[in-house]
Amino acid sequence: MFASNGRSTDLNEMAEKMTESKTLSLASMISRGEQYLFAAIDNELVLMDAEQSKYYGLDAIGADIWQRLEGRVVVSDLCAALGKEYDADADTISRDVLALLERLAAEGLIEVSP
Amino acid sequence: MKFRQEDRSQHHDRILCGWRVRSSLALPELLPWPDDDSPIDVEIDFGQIIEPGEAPLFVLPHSRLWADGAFLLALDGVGRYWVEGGRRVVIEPAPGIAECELRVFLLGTVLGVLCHQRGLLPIHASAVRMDGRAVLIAGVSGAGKSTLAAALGARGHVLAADDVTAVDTGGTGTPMALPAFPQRKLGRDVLEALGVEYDTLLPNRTGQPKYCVPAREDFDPTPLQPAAIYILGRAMSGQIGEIERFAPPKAMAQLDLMIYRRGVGGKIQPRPALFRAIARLAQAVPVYLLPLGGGLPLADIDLLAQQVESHARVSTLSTL
Repeated sequence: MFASNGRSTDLNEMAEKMTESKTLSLASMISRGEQYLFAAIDNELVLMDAEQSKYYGLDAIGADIWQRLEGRVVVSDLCAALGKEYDADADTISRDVLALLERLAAEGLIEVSP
Repeated sequence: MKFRQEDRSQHHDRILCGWRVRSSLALPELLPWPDDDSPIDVEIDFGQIIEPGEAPLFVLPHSRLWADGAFLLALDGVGRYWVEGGRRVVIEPAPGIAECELRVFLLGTVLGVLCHQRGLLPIHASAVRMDGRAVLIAGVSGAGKSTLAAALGARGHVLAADDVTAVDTGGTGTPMALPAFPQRKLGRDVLEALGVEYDTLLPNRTGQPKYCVPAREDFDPTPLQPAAIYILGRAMSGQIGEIERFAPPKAMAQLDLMIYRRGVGGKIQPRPALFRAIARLAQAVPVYLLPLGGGLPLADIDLLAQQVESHARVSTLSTL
């Protein structure tokens, strides 16, 4: 779901290392970080961490999730909303969403209040 | 130390990136501005530079930047350049310096800073005109941008810019590359490989085995829509010469790294403005990696130019 095309960081690897830390849960409140810029190119959303000039790509689903992060959102509400749009079971959705959010949080692109 | 002041009644204004430039420093390599009433875009004068009273925002070994974007370049043995508002340059030459040495930095760093001050995106790239569109060859210093552009020139693709290509991503239309001025800088080895006589050419800097090569024939300052951007990069093993398109995040990251005078540019232009400029360019123009093993293959330079030519033509068809 989440393409790791940025300049230097392999986000998938980073996410694997991150599985130990349990900062995120379905009850977490999340919002976009302050230092990001984004642009849609072809079917991808390119995010940039403005402080570090690092670029990240989100595929169509990731981009949809990013678009839904306007304001503050509770993860379980986000998953419920996605469940209405996508043909996948609730467990798969919450697992994929948490994994994506972990990566975004690790790069400082979103903020998490537990 | 007295500099020949251009007599403004006798000398034409010149064309640089499509701007009307009035310069006290002679700029013979630039085409004359046609006689018309258009306003002056950039004025270049000799004079004494008095630094502003307030502290600079940013200090580098050879340059300083103030909060309003005014820029000072100070080079030992060459001189000092004051660049302001994208429209005014003051040059304070060092004693004994030759005019051609002053032009090197005027048409390099100072040009880049003028672009940033004017809200343009200067890319560290040479550009040629191919079928009415611009093909950009980007890369770090020494990657072979000018060499490949010259080899494309030998195949009939007229030079649009050497080393720095200004791209206008503002407005509502597609981004446009602004042809800069008709001169190449090429090393002696490259001139030999291309069969160009260099005995009568001026060296770029005194004692350098690098020459200024006029490229006036068919040069046209009309802005060009870019067709493709090639980034000269190091090959991983086995992929030399296999042109590969960058996915959007990588394309933007690469273009970001190719911003000319990136450090100071990122202070003159707000980060979001540069991001938007790069995004608009990456939306409109495919960005490719042209992987090379340790430098350009001079012996086979025409083959490489031929490969880029066919690739760019196919790429243009797919993006029309």
